[in-house]
Amino acid sequence: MINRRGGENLTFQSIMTIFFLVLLFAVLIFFLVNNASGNLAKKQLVAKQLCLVMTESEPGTLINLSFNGIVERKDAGFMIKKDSVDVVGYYYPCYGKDFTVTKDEKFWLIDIKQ
Amino acid sequence: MLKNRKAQSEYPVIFIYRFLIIVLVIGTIIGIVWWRFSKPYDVRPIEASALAQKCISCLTDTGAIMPNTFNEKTISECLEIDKENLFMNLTLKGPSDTFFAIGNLDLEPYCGEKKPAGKYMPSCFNETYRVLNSSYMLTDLNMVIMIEKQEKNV
Repeated sequence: MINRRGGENLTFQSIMTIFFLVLLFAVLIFFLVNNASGNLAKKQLVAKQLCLVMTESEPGTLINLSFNGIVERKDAGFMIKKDSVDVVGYYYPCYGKDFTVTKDEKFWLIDIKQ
Repeated sequence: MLKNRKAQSEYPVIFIYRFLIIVLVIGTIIGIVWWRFSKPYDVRPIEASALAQKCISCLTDTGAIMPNTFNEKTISECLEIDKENLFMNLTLKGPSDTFFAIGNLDLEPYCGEKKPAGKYMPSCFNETYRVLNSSYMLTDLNMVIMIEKQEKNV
């Protein structure tokens, strides 16, 4: 009886070890895949690229952006969010004087008026 | 029986020891990847270059730089100047140089300074362009643009 109890205890500990190992490796793989695919830097890249394109654009330019997230105007720059759940987002300050951000069916439209 | 108990009582110690090593190894891998790849992209030099082009197109709206438009007001009408993180100094060369500056004047001394170890400096852009002046003669326009925005770029 006593030996069996000990065995149960060891089995439980082994399961816990495997569980934590799987959890740790899942976190590691998730992190590496996100890094390798560029997902972690996507918001930053979109915000900075939009800023650069807008700065170089002539008044009257309409930028069509195909992006699965959310693009918003904040002050003179852009706020990029992954989805509506993403509260923080990524903000990059820019030099836009007069521009609007709207969305049609497929694209985000950045209309530079001045 | 006594030996078995001892063996069992040592198991949690081995478990914790093994677990700590695994956490350490995975933590190190994540740490190295994070340290290497999580740095923001520094776009300030390209940003400064784009700003310089924009300034020139604002100032030379009529094809040449006119004395009445070579001022802070023209630039401010064209661009939303971030007075904390940006400094611009434009000098139009000629018999008597004319210049004006916009933005955070505290940034100016850092242009051309050697970067101290472990410290971040504002990005400095210093270029000279050939433009037409009011008498439609080619003249030099020197632009110094400094952008701070360190937390977003470094």
